[in-house]
Amino acid sequence: MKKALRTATLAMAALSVLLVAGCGGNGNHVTADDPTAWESLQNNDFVTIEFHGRDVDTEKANYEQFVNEFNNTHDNILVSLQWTSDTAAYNTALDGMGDDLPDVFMLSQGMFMRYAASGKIADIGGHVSEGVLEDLYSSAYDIYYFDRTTRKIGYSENASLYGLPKDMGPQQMAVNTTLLRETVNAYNAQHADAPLSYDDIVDPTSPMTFDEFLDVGKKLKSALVEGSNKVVICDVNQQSTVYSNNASYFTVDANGKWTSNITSDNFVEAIEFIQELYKEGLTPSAGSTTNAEQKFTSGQSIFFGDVAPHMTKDWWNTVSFEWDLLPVLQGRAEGAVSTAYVGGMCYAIAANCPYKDAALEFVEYLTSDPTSQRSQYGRGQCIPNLKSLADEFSTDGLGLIAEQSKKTSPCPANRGVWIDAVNGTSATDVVSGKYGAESYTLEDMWLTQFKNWLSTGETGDIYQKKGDGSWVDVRTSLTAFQPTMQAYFDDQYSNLVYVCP
Amino acid sequence: MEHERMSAVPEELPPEELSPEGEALLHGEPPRVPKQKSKLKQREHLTALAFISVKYVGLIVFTVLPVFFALLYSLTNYNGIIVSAGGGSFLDRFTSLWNNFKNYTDLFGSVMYSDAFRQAILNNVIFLLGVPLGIVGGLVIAVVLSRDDIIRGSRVFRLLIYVPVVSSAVAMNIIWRYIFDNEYGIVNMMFGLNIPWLTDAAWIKVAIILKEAWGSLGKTMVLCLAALTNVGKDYYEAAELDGAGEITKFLKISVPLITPTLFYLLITGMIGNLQSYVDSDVFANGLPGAQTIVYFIWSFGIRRSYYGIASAASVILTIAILIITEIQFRVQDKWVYSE
Repeated sequence: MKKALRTATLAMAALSVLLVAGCGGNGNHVTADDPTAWESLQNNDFVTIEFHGRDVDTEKANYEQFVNEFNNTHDNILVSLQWTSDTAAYNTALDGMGDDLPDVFMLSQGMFMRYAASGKIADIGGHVSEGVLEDLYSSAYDIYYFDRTTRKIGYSENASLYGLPKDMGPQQMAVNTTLLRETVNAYNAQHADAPLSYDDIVDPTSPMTFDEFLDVGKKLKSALVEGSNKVVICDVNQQSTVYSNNASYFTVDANGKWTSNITSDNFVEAIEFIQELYKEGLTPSAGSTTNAEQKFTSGQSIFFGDVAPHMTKDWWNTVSFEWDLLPVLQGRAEGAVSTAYVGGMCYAIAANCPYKDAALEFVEYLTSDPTSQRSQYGRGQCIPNLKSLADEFSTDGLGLIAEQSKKTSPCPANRGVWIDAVNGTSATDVVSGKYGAESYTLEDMWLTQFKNWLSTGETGDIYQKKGDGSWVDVRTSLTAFQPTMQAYFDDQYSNLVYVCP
Repeated sequence: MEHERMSAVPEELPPEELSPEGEALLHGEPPRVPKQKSKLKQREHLTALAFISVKYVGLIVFTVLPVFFALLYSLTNYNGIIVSAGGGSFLDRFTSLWNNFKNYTDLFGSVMYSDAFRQAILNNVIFLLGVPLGIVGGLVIAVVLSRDDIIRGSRVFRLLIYVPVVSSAVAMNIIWRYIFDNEYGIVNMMFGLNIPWLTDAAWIKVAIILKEAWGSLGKTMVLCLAALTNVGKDYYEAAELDGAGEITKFLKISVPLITPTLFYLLITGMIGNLQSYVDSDVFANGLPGAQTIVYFIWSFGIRRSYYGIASAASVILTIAILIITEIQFRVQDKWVYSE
């Protein structure tokens, strides 16, 4: 028995050692600053690149095509693709790999800063081919700069570039023009003295303000058929509402330290506006199994506050009404501009990849090759990353509308508002876009907990009338959460200082 | 035969010349037979060991080592952000992250975790109500279905009631989400209610308790049916002679005699309930009013790579389960029947 126990203990110890040793190993990799990794194509006849991506299975098929095209045109590089359809599983697996990352991989914006700050991904700034950055929207890649001295995301003199954009997902407001027209007509039939103007509502060059929308929304609500479960708007993006009221979740000082900003007047006003939509019954209860997108695509909502390009590719075949795009609502605060939330992912190269030059060649092909970009936006996956393709995207140079006219739903005529969001500002300087707040922090638990706070508890639940018929005061609620938010930022800052001393 | 041969020790031999075996026999002790293993036997043992080692290797790799590392991580500030920095070997970096019991104190004291963790504990405790509710419901169904004179076609009902036990938990939760939907849910529509089951922190707990109780009916019913079948008929006949009615027989004979089964259901039900995750994620869609401890662990540990804090929460959950189970075993003498 003793012998068996001893054997078991020894076996366990051996396995532990193996496990620990395994964690420390780096396989075929090189050190992050090994210059030969940028000369692998000179030193090797043939290199193999491992590329990990994630998205739905239809997207996997697209990437298989991209990889095949790249492999067919490059005799000395072979890219092998690993695909995961589940986002959470992909991110967890990536985190679990530690330093043994794939040569090239997709990285979501909420994870980018910690991968850059902890040195897991390569600085590619000095190696990007001439002309590549010039044709990309600066907003598409500025977000992938990180400055180790100021510990900040975004372009600056000392910042390094750690990724190139996969795509950009500006989220603007969709409108069911068929339902809007019907509802406006129904309203005007009863209010001939003060009718609603359909054209004013769907004007993409003049975003509606919070107050204008509340006014229009109440009128439209009064004309919706009672009991039809139709609503005025579903899913208002909290971040774009905050941004569009000239507010922010935090400020960042010269050392990269975050300070919570959720009790500022502009921020409170933005959240109060969202609460007002619930108070007035313009937006549905969050407890419906029919999610916002389903509600909109089934024709039960006039507006949908949160639509990104990649969502609409499925709408071509499923939506049976006409729809278009509008800029998100503009806040009441001074200096407020309609500011869309911009989501996105980047392609990153592992810091210890031994074939960085080959990896970058593949990344450049994905991010900026016109054929690859046309292929992506032509399938409705995204807007093009390239400025040179913006016009053809907006004016249908590729025959996008002709392709979609075969489908049940036409392409939105105002799709230029997506471009406005990433192009800085529109022609009238009233439409803008900003990357999600989680892009500027090490991780986004603070945002999850903030959203949790706003949707639950006696002091937090701002979206639901309480038992006594009253509503939670937004400022009180935000003030109560402020210390928790700051604690998350302080904790992150201590981690940030650890990895960027 | 061997014993006879060994007992034939020549008496004329002086004691100092006796072998150890012979000396033992002289003193009336059993003979010590030298162990001799054939090579074949040894090989057989090794083969057997190789076969059973598969299971133990699995146990070590997938259970023992993770438990060991969870304990270790719970004492460190190990997270997905800082573990890659600082250089040095894995062990060097690991030891530099040592923070004693800070994670444990943070779970109850830090504003970052304490609210969510306390809420998760409270939610778990409230959800435990679903366990006795399911046992009572399952027992009543078992009693009804065990009586062919009360219900016909009981086998069909047994099958139907047992189906959820072998169905996908995720699928069941999605269906229940539709049933409790605030707007289109069959519960609200059927009873003309307007209850925010899926968004209100209190109502979602009620919904989960009802759902959990329903989910355990099948298992409880099958085990209780088996237990009821084993109760001797003579007990009931004697009780009938004394004039006992159906309810009295059920409460005074059936229930006491199947308490070992009820005890088993209670223990396994509570352990399973304390480890629930799907309710929080799929049914409640992550609503804080329905988040359990395991959801907390997933949320911080898996989703956000806060391995230290999640490991500490895991250790606390394990200890809590051990304590609750131990208490149940200690008080079982007071209510569980044993022959």
